[in-house]
Amino acid sequence: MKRVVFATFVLLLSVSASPSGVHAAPIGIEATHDQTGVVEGTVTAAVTAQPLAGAQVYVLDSDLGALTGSDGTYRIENVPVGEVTVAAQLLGFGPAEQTATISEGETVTLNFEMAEEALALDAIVVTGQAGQARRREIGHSLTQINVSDAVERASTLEQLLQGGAPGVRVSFTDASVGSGAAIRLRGNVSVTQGNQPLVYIDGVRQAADGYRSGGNTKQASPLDDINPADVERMEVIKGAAASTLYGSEAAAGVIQIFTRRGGDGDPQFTYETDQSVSWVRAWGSDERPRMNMDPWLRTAHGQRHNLSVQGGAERFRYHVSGSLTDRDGAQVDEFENRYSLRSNVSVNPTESLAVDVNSMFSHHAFETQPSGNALASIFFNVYRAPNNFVGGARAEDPEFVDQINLLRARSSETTNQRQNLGITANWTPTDALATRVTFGYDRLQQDQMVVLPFGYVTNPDGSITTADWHNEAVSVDAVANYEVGVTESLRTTFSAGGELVQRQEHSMVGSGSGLPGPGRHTLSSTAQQSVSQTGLLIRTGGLFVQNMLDFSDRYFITTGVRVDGSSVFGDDFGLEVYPKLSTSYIISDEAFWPDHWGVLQLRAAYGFAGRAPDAFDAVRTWTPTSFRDQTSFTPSNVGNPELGPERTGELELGFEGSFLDERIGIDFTYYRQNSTDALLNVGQSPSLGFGGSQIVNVGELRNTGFELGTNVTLVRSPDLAWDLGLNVTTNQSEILDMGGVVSYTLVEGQPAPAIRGHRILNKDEFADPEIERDAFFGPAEPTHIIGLSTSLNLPYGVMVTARGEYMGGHYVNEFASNLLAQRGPGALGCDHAYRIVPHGEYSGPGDTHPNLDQLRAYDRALCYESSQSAMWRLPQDFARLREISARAPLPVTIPGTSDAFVTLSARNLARWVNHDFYSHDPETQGAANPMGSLTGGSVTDHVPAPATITASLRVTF
Amino acid sequence: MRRSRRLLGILTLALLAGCDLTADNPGPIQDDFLDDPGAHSAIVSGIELNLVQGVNMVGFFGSEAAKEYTQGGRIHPIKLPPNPGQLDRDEDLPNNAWNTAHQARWVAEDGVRRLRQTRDDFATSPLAARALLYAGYANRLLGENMCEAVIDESDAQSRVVHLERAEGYFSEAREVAMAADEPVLATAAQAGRASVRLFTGDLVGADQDAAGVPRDFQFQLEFGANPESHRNFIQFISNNNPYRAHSVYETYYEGYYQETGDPRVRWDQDPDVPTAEFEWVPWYFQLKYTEVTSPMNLSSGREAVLIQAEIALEAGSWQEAVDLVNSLREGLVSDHDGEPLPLWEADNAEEAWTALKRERGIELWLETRRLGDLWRWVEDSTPGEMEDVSDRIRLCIPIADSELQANPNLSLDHPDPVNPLYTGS
Repeated sequence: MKRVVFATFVLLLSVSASPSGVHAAPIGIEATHDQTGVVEGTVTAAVTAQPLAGAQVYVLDSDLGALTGSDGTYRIENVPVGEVTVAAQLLGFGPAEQTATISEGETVTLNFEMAEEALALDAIVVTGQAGQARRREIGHSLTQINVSDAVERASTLEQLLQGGAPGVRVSFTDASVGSGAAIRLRGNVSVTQGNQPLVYIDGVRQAADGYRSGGNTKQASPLDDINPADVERMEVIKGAAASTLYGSEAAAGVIQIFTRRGGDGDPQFTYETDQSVSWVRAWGSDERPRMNMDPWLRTAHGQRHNLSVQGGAERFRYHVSGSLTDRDGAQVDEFENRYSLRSNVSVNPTESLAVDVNSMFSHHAFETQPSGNALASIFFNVYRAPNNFVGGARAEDPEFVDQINLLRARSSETTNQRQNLGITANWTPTDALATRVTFGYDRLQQDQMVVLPFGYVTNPDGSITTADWHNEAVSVDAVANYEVGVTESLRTTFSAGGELVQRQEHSMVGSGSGLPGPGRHTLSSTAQQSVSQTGLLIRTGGLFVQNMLDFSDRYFITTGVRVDGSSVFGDDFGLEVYPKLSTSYIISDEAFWPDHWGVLQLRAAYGFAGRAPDAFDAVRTWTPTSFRDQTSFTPSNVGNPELGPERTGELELGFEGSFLDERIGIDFTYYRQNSTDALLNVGQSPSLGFGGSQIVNVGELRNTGFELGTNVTLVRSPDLAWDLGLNVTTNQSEILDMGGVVSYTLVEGQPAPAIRGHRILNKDEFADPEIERDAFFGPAEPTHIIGLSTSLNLPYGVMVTARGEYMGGHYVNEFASNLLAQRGPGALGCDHAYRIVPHGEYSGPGDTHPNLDQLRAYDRALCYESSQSAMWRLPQDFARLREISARAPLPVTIPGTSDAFVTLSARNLARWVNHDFYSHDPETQGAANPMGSLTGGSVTDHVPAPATITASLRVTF
Repeated sequence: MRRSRRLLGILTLALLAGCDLTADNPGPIQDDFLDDPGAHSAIVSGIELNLVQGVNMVGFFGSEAAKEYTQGGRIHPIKLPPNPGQLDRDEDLPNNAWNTAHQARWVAEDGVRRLRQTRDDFATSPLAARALLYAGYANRLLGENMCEAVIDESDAQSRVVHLERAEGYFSEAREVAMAADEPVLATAAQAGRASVRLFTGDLVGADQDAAGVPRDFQFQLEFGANPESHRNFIQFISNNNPYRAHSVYETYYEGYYQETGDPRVRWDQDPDVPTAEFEWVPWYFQLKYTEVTSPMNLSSGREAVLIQAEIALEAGSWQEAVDLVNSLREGLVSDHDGEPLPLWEADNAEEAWTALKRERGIELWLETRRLGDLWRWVEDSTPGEMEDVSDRIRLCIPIADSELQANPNLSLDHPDPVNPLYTGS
């Protein structure tokens, strides 16, 4: 069956590339434009008169165009004489057109005043579509984030996503440099497979969710390889109703990143520099504000330099950039440096053919200290002192700092390299037929070396671990769209396409222990060595067809289906089919709708997408092991020939509108996801030999909720504009069927996953605790997220933005504080209790301490050595000021430049946590690989993400 | 142009037609590959390795229950049983021992099945003889230590099922080994069969088998140095670094060695490190195994003598039994003074049984055999003294939760047998 998919795919491609049935554009007809003139001008916002950067200005029916610079100016050369129509468009603004007559050798000035548009129904979107589509045509929600216009000076795209859209949750788990974030769109859709959304960069699929993490190092995110200064916008689709055409990897949603394009005209250079300071704000109690970590935290400096040039000619445009980042970590001995290069070249060899070649290289080197429950972790040894691994001094003892500093001899160097290449050919032989073929290559390479030197405190013999890992994806996708006007008011667009993705991963880890002595060594110098190598190859192919019916440009019905095959499916499984149906209705285009009511689109969509199992889940495998110098086979994976992908069906109902003269924009979506055939780990009888568990398609989960995004323009005048944004997201997950699988945290009728443990029933009584064992506290994922944002446009081009976020309704296993209560100097949130009964002076129920009558049952249960880990289940609600930024043009002109801006951005300056959160920081919940696993669960012992202030200068010349 | 587009279409067709969606992955070995005769040596090596891991876990939990040692500390990643030595079904206890021992049995039998199906020379193959032999030992491990038998997700059955399977594998191993001209394997199979026949009550057969085993014969389980799971676990956890989790403290062998210096139960202490990880347990570390690769007897001529002695006791020839037992002590000298070990003295059958039980404990110390012996003697109400096991809830490893939850023929309310001598509450 898998070959059937390919045969069809091949047939489709050969048809789209063959001459039959299509009309090729004549070659060689491009105008020579002997007689030309120039169009130039400025694009400004209609109300505030502020210049608009990044607007596309182009001559209709030609390839001529330009992007506005940061001062809003543009210039288009070689415009043929005669009457031309020039259009301008920019995300968030309504399109504008002007007509002018061009005379030979003359320059015509056309200034555009663009009106803000809360709902741009005619804006072109790509993600989730077979080709391009107007926003009015799509029946599902799609969030666009305009990165190029952001005031904030974010160091990563993940920071810009954080709080940037409803339904998007971005969690940074600690303060270490190089750490990536977990991204969840509408919560978890799988309990065993990855929940990180699929990422495309200019149409090229990213090879992996994350870099490898190992040896107590941090997991870096491939998203962070992309320089935010190179990005124009991001499109986010959050569930299966929108991501059907992406198939078996897309149930968790899709993020597509669009990088900057070049424009016509002379080269335009932009130089940006960011200078930042980061520090860790107090996250503990009054007694232990930084949990005794002050000697190992610092105010860290970082800097980034970015230089880009863009320009082009009639059939050739380019955007080339380079970036250099150097940043110290807020924890001692941690640093990172990064450089990246990007080249985006667009060529139009004929009127009907456009070829884009986008390439990127990045190099990211960083050094981190281990964190979490690790022998060599500074934080672990500090906060657990005196019960630690390095001498047992208390924090107040004079030798404490020296003992902890012994850990710093360890080194952990990681180098990540990324190559990304995309070649896209768009061929539009007729007005009716448009085809696109994209070849993509994405490679993530990681080299890592962790050295415990000879005489190291936790391992006196010393050790060396090296890791070489790479992950690469080669993808080809092709799509053809054929548009037919059936009647004057009925139009149909038929699309067909296919995608082939081959992903390969290779990992080799070498470990050696027993160094010959002090000094620098290699793995070869160690006394005992071992090596492990793993590799995998996954091939996935899909074909899709889609048809969109357009009635009167206001009723739209889209139907489609994708059929997938994959090497990870079981031999007996066959193919998976993902259908979709969506409709869009522009009710405000009806005759009965008065113009002053605004614009309103009604949407409904239902679709399916999947989540495929891992490479070896379907097959019965054995592990080759060296036993007494002989190869030995031991059971590895039971195998399941019927294994297929999880299948998530999603219903979306919503509307999007703008009202009161574009002053109020509202985007509302209700969603209901059902994941059937959910992959669960089913325990195997040990008597059958393999034991352990096998992934089986037996479960069913549900996620429901709504997303509300509003933007209100409170003030709109030439001198002042004030916008207020509110995002509200809810998410309720429930496990409907466990297929007979018994699990402590995955239970039918409960959230996925549930936080479960021992509840203290008489929390506030001054008595021994009464305990309800194995109680369900609530979900690990937040049930509601509220984001607030505001932007102020002030006189003289000054802009101020701010963004905050609240998450609540979720609970956490507080592993780290339980350790402190049981084995350490006492839990952080219990300091108030220790003032009544010191830690170590309460032995549990029945104790007769004289102050016991002042000690609440909750504190008795949690704060002392008798505490049980299952009692540490805490509400995780918190709010954070994610960013506040201000940008202003330089009041003086720098010679040789056309404009210059300064920006001041701050992140993580304030937080609020629930009163009952007796713990560290609610966002330091971690897993070794937060990108891949089920999020939520445990607060682990990490230093939280730091606060950062960044000052930035951008000049264009 | 038309021609070039046609060429492009053909090229695309050719490029993609060569692809398919199957992937030949490196790394884990796919099951079919094991049918290749070139893989058979690794299959048999894997059988040995799985037996090592089964013996290690059963030895860790079972030997403590049988009072061959006292736990002195926690062992990562195995959780500490809440009631050490009690073989509760709670916690990880039976899961670790049950899972590894059953995997050892299944891997061995699957290996035999595969070799039988894919080797024309099975009946004369040394590899086949080895696989059969280890299948016998894996079943013996289960039959002697598990409360009940579960075969390939079956309902619970008498543990005798394992012993009968062991006997069958030993018998076939002996035949194949003889045909393959592998006398050591043939003798090991015979010795192994003698041990299970003693358990199943086939005393005539056991006596015949035991009689054919030379007294100096040993067949041992070999261990690897790395990783940890390949090591002799009892030795590994005895060491100061990292666990110091094993102590001879408060066992019969603590006092017996102090009294006799019998080198078979040698232990020592370190004045610089007086206690195990648990400070209430003095650290008396065993020295039967001195390296992590020290081998462990699976069968021996000396065990065969003890089998013969027990058969003699069963037959009422207690003096013959005592003589056989004492014959094992002759030639051994004390670690303390270099003098010959004292012989057991018995004036009646009960004292002879005591001598046998003590000698069998000494001879097979820390070889995962004692728990089965204790249970067998309790069930058979044999006379004579042995360790006081009235404080042990059970003398066998119950069916693990992992089996009860996953096996459709069983459930978590499956009753566990209780030691009839248990006097606790």
